[in-house]
Amino acid sequence: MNGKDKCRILKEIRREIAAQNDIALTIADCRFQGACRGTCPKCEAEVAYLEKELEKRRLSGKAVAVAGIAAAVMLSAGGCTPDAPPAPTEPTSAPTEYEELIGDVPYIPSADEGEVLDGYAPEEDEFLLGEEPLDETEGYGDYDL
Amino acid sequence: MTSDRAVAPVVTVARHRMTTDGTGVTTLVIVHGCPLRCRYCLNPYTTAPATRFRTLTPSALYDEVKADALYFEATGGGVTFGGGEPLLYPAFIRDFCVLAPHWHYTVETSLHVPWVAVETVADAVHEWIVDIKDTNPAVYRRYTGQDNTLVLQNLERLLSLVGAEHITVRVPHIPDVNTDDDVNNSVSRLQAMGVKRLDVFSYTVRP
Repeated sequence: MNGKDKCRILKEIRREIAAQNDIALTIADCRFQGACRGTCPKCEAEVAYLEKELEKRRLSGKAVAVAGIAAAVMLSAGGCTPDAPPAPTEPTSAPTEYEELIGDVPYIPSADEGEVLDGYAPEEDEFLLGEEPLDETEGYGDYDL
Repeated sequence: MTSDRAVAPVVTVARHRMTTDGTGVTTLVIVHGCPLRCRYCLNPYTTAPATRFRTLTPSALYDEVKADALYFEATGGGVTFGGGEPLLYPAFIRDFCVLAPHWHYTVETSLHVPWVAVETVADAVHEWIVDIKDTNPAVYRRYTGQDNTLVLQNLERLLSLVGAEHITVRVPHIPDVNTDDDVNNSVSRLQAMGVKRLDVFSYTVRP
């Protein structure tokens, strides 16, 4: 599933939330031609708007319907449901373009390569807040394995 | 309440996962560290010494992922912990789940961890995706460098603890490592253990 597909589904979810809660929401067609990551500041602003309007409804004592209301949108996208196991994957040949797999995140460049993390490009050997280099001598996690 | 004493080395927070890592719209949290060294590891940077990560408390992670709370609630989605091996940080996962108990939580694990780690998160996690590799100890050792006795013991106990309906066991055809017979034997053994949700698939080695 590429970013445009994700954007389309997320848009449908927002539309459904707005419709179920009588919230006026006009979603303009996206004209962005570049590599979409599924969301953008405009999409995020719509989410923030919905959250604000839902809170207004709560405060005014009106019913708010969110829980599970867009599950059908996910089903139409071929998403997992709690009661259905994932379809067994048939043996495949190498995909022609990147395919998102279970648990797979494709590319994590190091900061040394000029990665932009959360909108901030760290300098070489500079660590971000909370970021630590790996100390192989300390082992991993809460347990000794 | 969480104490925020538990932390985890988080490499990546991948938003808006759909159809791959659990129910609904999901945020995949990738942590650093794994006891296994699989030849075809999907995320090899999770064990690479040069990889940088952020040491996050449950609250810090919550602040980061809550932007998608509306999507989670509307689709029955939530957060999936993967890696690396997320069960190296069970207290972190447990404390995180307490912060938003109405979200859906999935763990993608090899189960190659002490049982106490599994037990620590069992009440908070709704769905388990277990990467079993191969039930044959020789094949498992050849592929991961480790013994799988602990894995099978943990799976047996997990089936009793949370029920087969919450566990999907992934059984891969691994190029140059196991055979169709090995995979079939694994499937038979897992079914005999009570596993009901099996995902048999083939690793695709990327160029």
